[in-house]
Amino acid sequence: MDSSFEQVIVGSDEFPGDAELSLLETLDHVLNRGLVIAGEITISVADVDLIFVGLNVLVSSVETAHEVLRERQQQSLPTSELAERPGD
Amino acid sequence: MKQSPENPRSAEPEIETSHAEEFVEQLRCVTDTLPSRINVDSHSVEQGLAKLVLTLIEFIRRLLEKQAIRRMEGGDLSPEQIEDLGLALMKLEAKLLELKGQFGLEDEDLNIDLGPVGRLI
Amino acid sequence: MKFYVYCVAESRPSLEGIAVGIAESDLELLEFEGLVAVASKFDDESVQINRANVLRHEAIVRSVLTETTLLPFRFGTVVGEANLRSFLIARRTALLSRLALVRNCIEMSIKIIWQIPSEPTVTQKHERDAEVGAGAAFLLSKRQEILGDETLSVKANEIAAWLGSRLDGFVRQAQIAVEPKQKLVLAGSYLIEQSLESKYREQVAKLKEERPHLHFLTSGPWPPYTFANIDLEFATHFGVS
Repeated sequence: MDSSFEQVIVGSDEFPGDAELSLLETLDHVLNRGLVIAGEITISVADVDLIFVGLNVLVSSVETAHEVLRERQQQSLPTSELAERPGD
Repeated sequence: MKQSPENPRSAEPEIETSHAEEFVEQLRCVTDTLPSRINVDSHSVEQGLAKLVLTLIEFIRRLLEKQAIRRMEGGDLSPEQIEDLGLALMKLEAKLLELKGQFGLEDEDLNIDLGPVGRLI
Repeated sequence: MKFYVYCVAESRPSLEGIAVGIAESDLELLEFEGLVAVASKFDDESVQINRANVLRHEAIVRSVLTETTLLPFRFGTVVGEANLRSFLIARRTALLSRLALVRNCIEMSIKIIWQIPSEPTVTQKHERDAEVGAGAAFLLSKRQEILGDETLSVKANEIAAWLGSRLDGFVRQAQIAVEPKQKLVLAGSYLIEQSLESKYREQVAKLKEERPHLHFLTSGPWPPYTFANIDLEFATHFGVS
């Protein structure tokens, strides 16, 4: 699991227990809830909506899912990490 | 609605508990299952989709098990049918374990939150 | 032009005393047919989920709440002006009715951790039958597991029911998530009329004393995040009961 996110939260002595608890509880409210505008939400939160949309797509078959996976690898995602990934 | 210092709605939310560490541990699990929204690298997208697919299969597998047990209890299956059904489901469980292993996913990874519907498993 | 949106309000807040928005953009109000979106310009690819942004989002929503009734947007909602307009106009009725629901209310939260009760396993005679094959044995042990799960489920739901009945007079609406197999067995969000907040708090204090074996985390007041979402289309798509 990517830990860059976690490090922001857990960090060092900068964030003693109570502050972390407070942030986690706040996150539970602002990130798991709230109004959602389906359709145009940036990539970072789109993951949540992708899952909704994805589920509709993926319920059909595992083969379809494999195709989706393959397609995404070939798609031009807006990041340089894709190009640098070895064995592609 | 005037802004005033006595207005309780301007107060910062208080967070109260006698068991901070326990809750931190539990709430961390919640944030751990968030997909990595900051990075859009292909590995994490693939991982996310694999998780999704396997979660669905896991869900269906459990439904099938429950259904088989219900039929077994209902008495309308012969001993041979029960045995065959059980063996097939055993194999399915083993297969899924293998798949999870291939993607490096644990049971906790597959328990995604579907918002209003709750957790999948 | 993309905007990061914080909430939609039923009247224009003054934005006094609120500093700056995410990515250091100034806050602006975008009004469409009487619904006011509180927003700030945003043009990055994605929103970082970090402490600063999360707290800023929360602080802005909370500030606006002192002046007007609102529905908070999920953190990280970035949208083009045209889409924002069509969302607000198309969903106007649902939004207005949701605003009416949360008017003069705050959200309070209760989370409960329990020590997962362990059940002694009940064995039945026929399981000892040496004639039972591997497949049948598999099903029988699964059945055992499921029965155990069901007992846990009953116990977890009892806690939810207890909370529900004891908080009944104070709560306009409640949303409760129960996870029988988790340590964090219950997460409840309660929409409370402002005027009842202290009575609610007193009641919760009593509840904590009544069941000292349960570990409580209470928080609030929050803007009505949990009661903001007008779409539950997911339930119908997946058909889970």
